[in-house]
Amino acid sequence: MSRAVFMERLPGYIGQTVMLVVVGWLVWRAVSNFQANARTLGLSAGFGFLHAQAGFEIAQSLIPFTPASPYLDAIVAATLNTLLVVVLAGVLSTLIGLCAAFGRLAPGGLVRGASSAYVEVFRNIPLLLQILFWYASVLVLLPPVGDSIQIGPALLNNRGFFLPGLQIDPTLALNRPHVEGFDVSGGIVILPELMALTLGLTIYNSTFLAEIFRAGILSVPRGQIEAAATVGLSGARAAFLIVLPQALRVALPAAGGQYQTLAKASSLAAAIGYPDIMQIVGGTVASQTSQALEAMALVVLLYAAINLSIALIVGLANRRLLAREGRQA
Amino acid sequence: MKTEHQPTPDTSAPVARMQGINKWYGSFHALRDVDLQVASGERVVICGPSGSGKSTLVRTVNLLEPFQQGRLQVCGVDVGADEITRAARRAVNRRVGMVFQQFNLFPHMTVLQNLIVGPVWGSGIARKEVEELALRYLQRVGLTDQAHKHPAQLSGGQQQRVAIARALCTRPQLILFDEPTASLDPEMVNEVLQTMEGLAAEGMTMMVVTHEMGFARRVADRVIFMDQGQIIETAPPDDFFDRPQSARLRSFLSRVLTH
Amino acid sequence: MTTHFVRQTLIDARSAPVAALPIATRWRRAMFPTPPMGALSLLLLAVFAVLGWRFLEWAVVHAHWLGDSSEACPGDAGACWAFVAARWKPWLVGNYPSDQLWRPWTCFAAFALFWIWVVRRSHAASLQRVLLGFILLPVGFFLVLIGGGPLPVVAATRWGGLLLTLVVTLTTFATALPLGLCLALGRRSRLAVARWLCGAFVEGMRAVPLLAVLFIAATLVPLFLPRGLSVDLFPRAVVAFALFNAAMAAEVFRGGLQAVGRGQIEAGTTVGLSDFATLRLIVLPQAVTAVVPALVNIMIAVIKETTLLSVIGVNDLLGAVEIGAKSPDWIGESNILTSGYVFLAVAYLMVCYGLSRYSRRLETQR
Repeated sequence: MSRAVFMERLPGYIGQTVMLVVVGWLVWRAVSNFQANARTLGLSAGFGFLHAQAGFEIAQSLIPFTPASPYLDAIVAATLNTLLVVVLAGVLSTLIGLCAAFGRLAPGGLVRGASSAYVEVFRNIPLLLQILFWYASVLVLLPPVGDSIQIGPALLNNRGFFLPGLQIDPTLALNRPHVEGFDVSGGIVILPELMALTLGLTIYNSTFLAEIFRAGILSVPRGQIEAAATVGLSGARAAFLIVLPQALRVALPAAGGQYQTLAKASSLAAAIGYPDIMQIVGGTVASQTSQALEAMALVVLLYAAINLSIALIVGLANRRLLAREGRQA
Repeated sequence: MKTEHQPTPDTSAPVARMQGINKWYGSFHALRDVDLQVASGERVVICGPSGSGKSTLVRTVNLLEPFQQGRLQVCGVDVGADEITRAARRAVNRRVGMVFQQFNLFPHMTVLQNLIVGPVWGSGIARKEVEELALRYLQRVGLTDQAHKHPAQLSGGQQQRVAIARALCTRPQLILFDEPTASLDPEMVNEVLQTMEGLAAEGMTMMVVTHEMGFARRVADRVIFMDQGQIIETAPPDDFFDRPQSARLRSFLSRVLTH
Repeated sequence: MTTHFVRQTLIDARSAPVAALPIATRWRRAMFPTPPMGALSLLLLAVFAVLGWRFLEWAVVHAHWLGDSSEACPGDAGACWAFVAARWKPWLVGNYPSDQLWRPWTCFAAFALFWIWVVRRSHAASLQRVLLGFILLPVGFFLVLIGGGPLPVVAATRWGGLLLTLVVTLTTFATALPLGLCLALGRRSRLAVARWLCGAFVEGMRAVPLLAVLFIAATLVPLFLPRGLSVDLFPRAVVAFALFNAAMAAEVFRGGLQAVGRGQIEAGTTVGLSDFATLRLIVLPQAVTAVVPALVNIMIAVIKETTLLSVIGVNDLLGAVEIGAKSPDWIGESNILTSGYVFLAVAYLMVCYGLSRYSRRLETQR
């Protein structure tokens, strides 16, 4: 590097050093403030609490969980609950989104109008409002435990939708739910919170996915449909065999982004008390252990991990689809 | 038949000189040991197969592309490979103009604004003075009544002529043309070539990368043939086209001139 | 059979023949083109009719329009619009002192006038004035609403409802956009440290839910402040909102900047412009004009996101409705809260839909 080049880059080097120093100083000040405040408030530090007993119940847990289980189990249960609602809402909103996308492009005027109305209405109402509305309505419409609706072996009341579970021991049998006092025992429960959250997330995200899929379908050149007609494919057949695969490939990156948004939006579970990452780790664990820093750090890490996984899966699928066409990402 | 032109090239102080220029794109050796000199008033045409490095060569002259070895002297600015500063690039571009294959006019500005933005905001010349100059050059390229239109409203040939006027407004000592007619519809190629020939007749020093062999024959003082990043052969147009010396040039000409 | 032909006189253009189909046939073809479509259309029509009638019954026929407590709305057969009417003041301005209400009204009027001016303006030259207005408006609002000097001071904790939603939205817009542009430019910088810091910030914010950011602002940030310095929840929430949306705006601007071709920058260089002048005169105008519809979409998203403030205890429009339904006068039937939700849904729908129509108009205008 000559002197002239060095002199020209010098302000840049100085600037970068200043930036690092300023950022470093801010971080150091923040950390020392935190340590001082933590000492004053008597907060403990570190992740030792993970092995301590949780001391609270979780209404829905896919792994065995009791108040005697450690906090770590609570975090695992919460993560599984988040993944459950994300997968449910993701699959359902994809299906509804595809229908709405095709509906907006359908030849019939009424079908087009209905699909457009659906997309516009539910896209412009805030998601939180939709979730709260479904939660309020779902709870209102369902009867109290004493008057549960019996649907075959299943029970429906305002504590949830209780399905019979499979019992392995001592003998293979159905574990039927039955009312005991003010509660229901036995069976697998679908919480009203889960129902409301899934419903709200599904409907809201289906509108955005509908637009993404519609853009993908519109991006397929007219020539493809015309060529399909010349080889005898038309209507629904052409749509499924020719248009949809190409449309999905174009739409996949944008859809991946929307699934990440869905995963982040599932955090609104905290507003209605569904035991997901935000509610359990960011709420219950943080307040019970008073270790908000560790708890929120876990929250951030977990959501970032989920988002990263979605990005990786979508990226993999994208590469596969491109490879099938003989192209490269 | 060659056009009569005045003045004849001045061999005392070269407008541009490249000494041992080598350039790599990553591991690809794009320019190999290029030695080149362009005298004031000289018209140099560079041709060759695609990928031969001709565009890279002219883009190195005005430091749009850096080089890793060698020395470059352009319009009084002297830089070695490790001395390419932003200031040097600015100094060179104030004295050298460029016309791109894709025109690269500024779409959000009118034709007149395209012409004056460089001198006013780059060189700090008074706006009134630049506007007068701009209108004169617009007249020179025959587009006075398009002065307040936006580029999107002009045809390809008109846009490229505006691009030439824009380069002229910076009062350059040398103009570089990077395949100026390659993106034009055939019926518009002539209007641009005629504008360029007019410039050549007035004595403007130019380096032109082009496939237009007729233009080269009519206008060039020297034609350079490049292949694989190096200068293979240089000769005045008559010798270049009628008596090619190297086998590579012979095979290139036979491929190009048959259609 | 002739092999040669030369046309002697050219054919003049004639007007096209008028379609002879009767209106009924054209309508039928448009609405019911194929049997499956027709069946689906009829099914949808039936569903809409049933749902629509049920909704009208609840919202209009059996609705209760007047009253000032939950006794006015017994049962859940009809909507409780009395709830909406009675709570208009806390929903519009929160806890603002009643004798100073002229100040929020002035702000609302100023915003309405400004928005009408924005929508009506025709040519792109005043884009800078619009953006300037968006920045000056919240500053003006803060001065008027907080007071100080001749105006009695009203702390931000007393703001609520629509006023708070409006202030947060405008403030976010005014701060997130310039900050987002700086972040996007920083990601393209020559300086590696700047690229790194801006990139890390933007990607970090995008990986995390907004609710988590708000939780952190509400619970964690006070622990990082030096002892003695305490910042209210409202400013902390507004800052969190602005930082989060700045990252979103940065992505939008990054797309716009990338869309300006390399040739434009090269052309700027060859006419003698410095790097900064090229950025200012050539790249930025093109990049910003290209992303204006996406910026309006960010504004729509911000309006919807303000509802999250209610979860951390800031009294926005949604929060005001929920507080109202829990107040002693109105506590009781969940139907009352539902009526409030429906009213809010219609309000947000109108505002956001209007803005999205405007955004689409901007897209097609260019």
